[in-house]
Amino acid sequence: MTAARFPVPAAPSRAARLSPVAAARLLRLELRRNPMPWLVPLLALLFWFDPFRTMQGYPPIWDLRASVVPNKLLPDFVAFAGGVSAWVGSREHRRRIIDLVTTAARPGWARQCAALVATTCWVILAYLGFSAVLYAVIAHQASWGGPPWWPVAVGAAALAAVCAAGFAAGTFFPGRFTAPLTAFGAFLVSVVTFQNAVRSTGGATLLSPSAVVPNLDAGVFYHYLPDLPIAQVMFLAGIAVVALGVLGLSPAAEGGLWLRRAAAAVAAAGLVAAGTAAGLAHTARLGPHGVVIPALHDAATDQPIPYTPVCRRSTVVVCLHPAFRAFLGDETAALDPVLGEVAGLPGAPVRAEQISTRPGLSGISKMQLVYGNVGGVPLAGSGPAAFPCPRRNCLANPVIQQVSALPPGTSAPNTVITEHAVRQLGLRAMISGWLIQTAQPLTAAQISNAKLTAAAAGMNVETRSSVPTSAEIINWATVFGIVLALAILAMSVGLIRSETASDLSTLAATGASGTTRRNLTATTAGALAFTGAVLGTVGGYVATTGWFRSKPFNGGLGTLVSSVPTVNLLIILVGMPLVAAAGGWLFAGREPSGIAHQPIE
Amino acid sequence: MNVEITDLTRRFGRNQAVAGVSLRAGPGVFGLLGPNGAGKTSLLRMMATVIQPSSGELRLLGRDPGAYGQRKQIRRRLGYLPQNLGYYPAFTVVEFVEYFALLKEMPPAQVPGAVAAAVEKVGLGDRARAKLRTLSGGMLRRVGIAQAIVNEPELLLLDEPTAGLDPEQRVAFRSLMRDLGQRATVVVSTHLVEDVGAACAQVALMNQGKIVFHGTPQELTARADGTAAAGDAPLERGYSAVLAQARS
Repeated sequence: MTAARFPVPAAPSRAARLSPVAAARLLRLELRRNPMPWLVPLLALLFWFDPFRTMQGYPPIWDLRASVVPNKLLPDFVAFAGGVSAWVGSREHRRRIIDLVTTAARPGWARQCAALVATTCWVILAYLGFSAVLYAVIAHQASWGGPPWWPVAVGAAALAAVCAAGFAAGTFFPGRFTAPLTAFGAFLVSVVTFQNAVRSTGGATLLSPSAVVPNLDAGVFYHYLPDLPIAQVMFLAGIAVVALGVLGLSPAAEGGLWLRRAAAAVAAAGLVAAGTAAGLAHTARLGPHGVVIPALHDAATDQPIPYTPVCRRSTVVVCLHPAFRAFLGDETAALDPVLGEVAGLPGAPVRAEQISTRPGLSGISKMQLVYGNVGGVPLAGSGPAAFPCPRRNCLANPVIQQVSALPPGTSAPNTVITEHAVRQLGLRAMISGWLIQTAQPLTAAQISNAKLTAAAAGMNVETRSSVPTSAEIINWATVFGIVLALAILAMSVGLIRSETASDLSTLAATGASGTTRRNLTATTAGALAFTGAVLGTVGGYVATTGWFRSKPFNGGLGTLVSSVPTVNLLIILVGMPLVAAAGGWLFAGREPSGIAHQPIE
Repeated sequence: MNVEITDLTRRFGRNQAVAGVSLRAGPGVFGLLGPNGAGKTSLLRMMATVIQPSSGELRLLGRDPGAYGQRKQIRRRLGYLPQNLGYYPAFTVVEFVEYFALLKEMPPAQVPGAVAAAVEKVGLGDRARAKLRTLSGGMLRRVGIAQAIVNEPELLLLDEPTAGLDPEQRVAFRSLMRDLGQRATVVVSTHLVEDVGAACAQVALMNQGKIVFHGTPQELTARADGTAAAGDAPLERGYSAVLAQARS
């Protein structure tokens, strides 16, 4: 050891203490040693398995495909963001470094903020990276339009809130199991809020990130309304700021009066932001093109987006919005058999064009037929306007098309008839409902919007999904659940093992063989996996019970008893612990590197 | 006086760890001896502003650590090595010392030089980029010493600093302590009486929360004269004699 001297001012100035250079250096250290980057490969695997594959299955339309960001990508991130943040938040207690950091002059809030900001930066960076990949693929395949940025912004705000809440949980309840429990809790909250977004239309539900899913027409015929996303970002950012402020008010923040006041102000600002957002959400109403919040609404966004349709001439001219260019062939082929029956006759349709839907149901666009000698009449859902065809020029024997391919739902019609045919046959037309058929399952927001509209008119909405089958859902859900559970388990076991490295070192020092270490780690991993599997299964059944209770037409609660997925349950309850134990056994063989780490007392 | 303690007590539930300690220490190396559970670590933790006293008066560097503003000023000039050094395994030696330099509110421009100097002082220059998880126990102890001295403290509190160090490093560390004691108050809590004999100008011996001896190492050695106290070295015999007298 050699001696050296260098001048250190006894009391640096306030400017020096609050120097952005010092803050940047502290942040750089935290960024370099944050555990989040180690989880990126795992997230990449999940990304490929869930959001990317789902997105590829959707038509190449910007808003539709972008819906996987809040619906798939965000829930995948939430568990990891919460877990890692809690892990970082609890590290001072876990590493028994509290005494050392307490004697530092800089308030604890500063180092907590640095660690939290570093974790949040990594989480959001990874999230934005995966979002960029999704958007790049969409940009390559979409024929019209541009990326909707609000879903990405809402997701980033949601992750910031999860990170702050997870970090606070780790700080206030430090322990080895805080991180996995927080990860599980965060995942559960994201699932519950998504379910609520589907079932309910209340103001609080609108603040869920899942409710930001854009309608199909948004960004196509009409502008994507930013009203709700603005309120959501405000709410989620408010939650994050409140958590930050609460950290500053805790004894661990080691702050003086000035700092406590600042923390209280920060927490109050967060509360005001979150409260304001909640208030705004309660004033939300369903407008013609989406959820409108009067205080945030810009009337300019109500104007339709100009476009030049793409057309193809077949039996008639079929024109679609350029965003649906890929469907032009299919649409023409679908219309040909129907319109071919009347082609060339006076008053027969000469043109079919896609238009946006009526106000209140902006999620679904439809086809409108334009007739030969007079204006256009919608094929479905039209009012009691006079039929424009002169009697002598109309069909004597109108053809009624039976479309067997329509869905066999309880209220689903399977007959298509023109208004002329209704008159000719002496029928009376009245609107009793609308059938909305989509190529892909409806999004939470679309269903919410439909329910809102129906409720306002005193009607009911039935939703039925024919694809994929429940068996497929169960199988894929099982696989996805296992992958996610194993991912969280791997994170937990890895983190716990790093914590218990000193214990394993002691074992090695006392002569325990590699087999002993393997057996211990395998048993720990297996036990953790089994506990998680049991908890997950119970939680899954509780959620499923609730779902079946609210969907009596899907078989009711009896379905739970009559169709127990025995194989899947066995895979989860037996297979997953076995895989975890095997993984633990394989990876625990290496000699611990720090046998002599602890000082000899 | 950098350390002024008057009738200081600290209770943990029913257990009184420190029972009415009075002490004064100026620049120089001050040794704190005592058996296990004597209250050395509790006294050091109070001096490090980690815990507050239950009663009594404590002034450090002429300031009251009970007041927030003054406590901050004390902490800027304080170095502390706890008995059980916690650390972040993924940090490198330099990063760990830099982390604490920044937490001690050192001016950012001085941090790189101070960190390099501290790491060199403890003889870890060749392992500066090594991650803490790869270091031995003795090396980790030296990292702990480096973080404690990185801000050139005026009050340096070391709890078992030489535990785990090899003989060569212990000799070097004693030299470092003597050097630091030229301008700062260095309080060393230890079981190793030879460290005290080699480096300390003043020594206090604690037993059951109280100071039972305060003087120079030579005076402690002299307390063994005429007694049959156990020990391999004169200082050890003095230590044993004082303890035996205190317990009788």
